[in-house]
Amino acid sequence: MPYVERPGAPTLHYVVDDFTDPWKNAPYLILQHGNGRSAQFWYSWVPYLSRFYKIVRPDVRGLGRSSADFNLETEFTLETCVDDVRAIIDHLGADSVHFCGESMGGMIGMALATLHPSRVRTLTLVSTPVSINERGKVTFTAQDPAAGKAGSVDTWLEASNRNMRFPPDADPGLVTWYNAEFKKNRREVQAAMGELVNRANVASYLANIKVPVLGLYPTNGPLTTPEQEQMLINSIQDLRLIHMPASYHKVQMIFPAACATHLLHFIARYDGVPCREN
Amino acid sequence: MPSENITTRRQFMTASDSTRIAYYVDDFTDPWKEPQTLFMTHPAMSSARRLYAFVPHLARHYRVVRMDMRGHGSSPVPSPDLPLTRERLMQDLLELQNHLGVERAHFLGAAGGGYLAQWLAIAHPERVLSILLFASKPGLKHSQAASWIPQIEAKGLRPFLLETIGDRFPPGYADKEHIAWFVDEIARNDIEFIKRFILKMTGLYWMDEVGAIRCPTLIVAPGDESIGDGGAYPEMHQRIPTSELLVYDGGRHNIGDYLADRCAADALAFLRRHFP
Repeated sequence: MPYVERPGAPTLHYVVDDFTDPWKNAPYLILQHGNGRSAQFWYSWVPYLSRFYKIVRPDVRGLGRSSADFNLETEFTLETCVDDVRAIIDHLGADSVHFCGESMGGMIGMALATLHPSRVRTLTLVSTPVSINERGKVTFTAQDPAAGKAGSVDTWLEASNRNMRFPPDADPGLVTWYNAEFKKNRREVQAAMGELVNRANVASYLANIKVPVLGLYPTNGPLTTPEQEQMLINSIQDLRLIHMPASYHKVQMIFPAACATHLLHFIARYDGVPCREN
Repeated sequence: MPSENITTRRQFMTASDSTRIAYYVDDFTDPWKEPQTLFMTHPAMSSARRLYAFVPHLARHYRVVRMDMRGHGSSPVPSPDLPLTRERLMQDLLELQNHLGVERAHFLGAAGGGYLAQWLAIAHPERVLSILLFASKPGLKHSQAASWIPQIEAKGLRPFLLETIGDRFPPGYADKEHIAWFVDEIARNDIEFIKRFILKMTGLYWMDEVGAIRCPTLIVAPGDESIGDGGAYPEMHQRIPTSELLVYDGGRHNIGDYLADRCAADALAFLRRHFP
């Protein structure tokens, strides 16, 4: 799997899945994970997309298999995350890519589209708010005390899964897997990203996004409230908003086939890539 | 710049005669579930790379394992003094199945790759859940394939392939870049081993054994098969009581290449029908 090495910046890991016809030189689609997660969380989207696009799944610095060799206090910002994505696009040898980010990953995408518009063909936001409300705030700490104690990641996961992330009838296997996969990451990096998420606000970027934007959102989402959605609608020039039939945040994992298909059709319209359903 | 999916999950197993076998695992199933395993074996003169288009259709529901047959793709050419037999080729696949700790699995094979699936279903039914065959008859004996070797030697591999492309792709197949890629892929293999392999296959025919197959069997037949006897497909179907025959009207031999998405969709439908 590819690694991007750069002087003075952490080595980045990303996954490529490509089942396109090799002679067609298919375009790239980046799937960017959000808060505290990793490339692994996108696995269920890949089969629906990888026959037509080369799918790139980065690990944010310090998460997954990307290096944590950087200063958590000063070098974990929206701008450094954007720089990391740009380094990956360069590493791919691509002029421009399609970008799809879930939750905080979409915030990175908005910043990328504003700061480096020539590198982004389209932007897709999956459950991405403008800023994080109380229900979405990260409350666990790097120290991660025992489960059940305040500040533990287990307590936070249990509460936030129940309050906002997954519906009550979600497959228990999915939720168990989500928690276990989340806990594989470095806690101090997740806590630092949590702080970034808690104070993030992309309102100032919205009006400067010139590329076509697709939103894949829950209906009356706990984080992506109607007020948050209205800010997107008011400020983003070319926005199409599609609502999934659930009022929980993690539509990425609840409706992978539907979301990936909406995404595929959106980006394929841009490129004119034929994607017949056989 | 890495964009080749095929090399990123390549692993190797050492077969019992010390030959190395390359294989590739693609699994996009839900990690908390226990998916069944689907092995896929490529045609002769080919490699696992040529089966790329099948993977996304199937790997959301099955753990897909593609094997490079010995001497093909990334599996090194075995020493000439090692026997190249039906038993050895089947054994490579069986050993891979053991290596991965898979008790029973589905086996999909295109053309020559389907031979391995058939042999396993005949000799080791207890290890086989189903077999899915695409343009795969019980051997190459009753075919013109033996004439390929002197033609390859006289003209060279690429000119031979381009001259006879009508056996593999339908007339007027528009995607010339696909054909060029196809020829390039075949040319990546070791030509001497290819000839040895084809020669071996042209000496084998096991129609009289297929009746022993008892698992669900999908037989997908090119309607206009011109490599070997197209009548072999309905005969297989008659002899295998648990088989289904699907004919692609007007199809030529390499349906697994130019109709890959269709093949994969039919494979998935068959699997889900028999193993809900």
